[in-house]
Amino acid sequence: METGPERGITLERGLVKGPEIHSQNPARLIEKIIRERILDSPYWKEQCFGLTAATLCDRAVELTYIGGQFGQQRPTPFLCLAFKAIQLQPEKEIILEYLAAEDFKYLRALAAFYIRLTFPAADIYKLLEPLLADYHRLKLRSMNGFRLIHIDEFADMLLTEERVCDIALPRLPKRIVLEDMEELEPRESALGSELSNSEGDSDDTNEVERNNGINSKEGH
Amino acid sequence: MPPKLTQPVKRTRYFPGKRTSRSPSPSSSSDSESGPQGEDEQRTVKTEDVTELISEIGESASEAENSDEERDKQVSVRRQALGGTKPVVQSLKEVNLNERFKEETAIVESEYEESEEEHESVDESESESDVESESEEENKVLLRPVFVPRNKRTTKEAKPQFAYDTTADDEARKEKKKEETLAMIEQQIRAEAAAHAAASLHEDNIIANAEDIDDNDDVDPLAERAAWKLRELKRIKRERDELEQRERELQEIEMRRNMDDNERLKEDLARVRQQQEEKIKNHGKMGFMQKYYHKGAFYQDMDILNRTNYNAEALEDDIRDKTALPKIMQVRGDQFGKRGRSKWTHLLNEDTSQNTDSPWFRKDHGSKRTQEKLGGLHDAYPSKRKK
Repeated sequence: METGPERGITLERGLVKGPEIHSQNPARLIEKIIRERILDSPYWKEQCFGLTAATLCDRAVELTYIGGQFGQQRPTPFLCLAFKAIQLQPEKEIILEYLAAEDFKYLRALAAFYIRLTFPAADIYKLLEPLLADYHRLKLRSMNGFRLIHIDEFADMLLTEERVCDIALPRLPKRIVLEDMEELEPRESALGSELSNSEGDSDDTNEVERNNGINSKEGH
Repeated sequence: MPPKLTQPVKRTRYFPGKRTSRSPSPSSSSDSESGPQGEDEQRTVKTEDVTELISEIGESASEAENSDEERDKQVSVRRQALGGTKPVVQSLKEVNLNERFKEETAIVESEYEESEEEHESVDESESESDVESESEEENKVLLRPVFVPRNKRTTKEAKPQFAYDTTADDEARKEKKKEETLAMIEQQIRAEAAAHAAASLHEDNIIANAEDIDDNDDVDPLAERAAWKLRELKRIKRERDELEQRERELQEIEMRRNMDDNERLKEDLARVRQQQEEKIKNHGKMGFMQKYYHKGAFYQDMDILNRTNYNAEALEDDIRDKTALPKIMQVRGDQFGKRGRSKWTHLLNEDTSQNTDSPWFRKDHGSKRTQEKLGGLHDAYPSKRKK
């Protein structure tokens, strides 16, 4: 196989020198078409040149929406910054810091997106499930225009869907599988304490018991 | 420098019916006090003058360098040869090229008009006009344009000096003007760049834009929390459903392993029957000889994935119930009345298995063994073959 970045500067731009993620060049986490669009976009050329982890943080703080592509297949700044993060490959601690930034929700969203793309499966669950308790609002821009979502919805999309923000996410095993392999505990919802007291859904009465059953460790 | 041989030749235009030849001018050396160039009458280039000129110029050229003064000298030499006495500078001052051009064109136009008006030449008027034009031409000073180097030019001096123009030095004024224009250009470029940046930023919505969607979190925190609760509950329910289904599957696998063959068979048949019922319920039953019509997926959205009942699609002018037709007309498409129509209609019609008393399909002792050995799944006599 040819060496990635040296192969052809016109054929494969933006490739990263460094350790591989998911056994491929990190830049290939984003598909070629979208990668080309990002590299040709004005936001990338103007704002994303020579960024470091710190300046990336500055740019991310200025974001006002997340999203994939909009309009005439234009990549959003969110997407450009995500690709820049993939190119930079900041350290784990930095990303965790970004994720913990309570004041800047778009920075959090960016960190969550990066985590979903690059981190191993168990870490993804561990890091993104706390976001399911955060109900701040986000603006999502897509080909259909703007849409309002919340951080917990976004995290849920990252955990369950295959394509978020027009990027095909790497394969994530189901939670049950990881539980069976003893890498994870069953999910404890932030509603845990309220769940047993609440009415729940109107269907069966077993639900409350089942909830308690879920919250305790289940093995198979 | 090639010698300039020709004297200024007044180009006369040919107008039909008009005398163009003029009285031959006096020789070049004759007096002409109106100016160094003399009359504008048509001069014939005389070869003697030409050779004279050449020799003179050649001498002067060979003697001195081609400095400006020398050139002037040559010019003045030539001028004198042509009969002019005034120095070059002075004579040039008198020349106003614009005026001369106007005069020339006026003359030409007047000549043209006259020729048009008075096509049949009247000698008197012609001669008059000729005389007039000639006199005008006499008054006019027509100088052959000669190149004057920059520092010898006098036209700048002729420019009127404005009272408010304080800068005495030309160079300083030039510099100032240059700076001003540069400053203006720079300002313009900056303004453009700023506008472009603002526009692109605004387009990317980096700066806050007035959108309908408000991502301000402080509006009604209670409602937000309630909405979040609802979402969280739905998520929990979804997870629970998945778990349950998984459990159910595992259970069924267990049970099935423990069953006999017979029981498995019964279950399978029940399952098959159930599937068929569901299919009919979802898809709808196809009518008698109903044409299966699918519009094709090319021009349609993803909505077609949600549809389960394709049997409902039909062309507008289809007969829905073909049983109402006479038997001859119960054919597909445009087959009715055609000579190539075959006698056989459709499978169910030609099927002899169900409706007849054929020994192949009777359920009696004789066919028991045959049925057992047949392939496929039939409930009459299940196959005893070892799997």
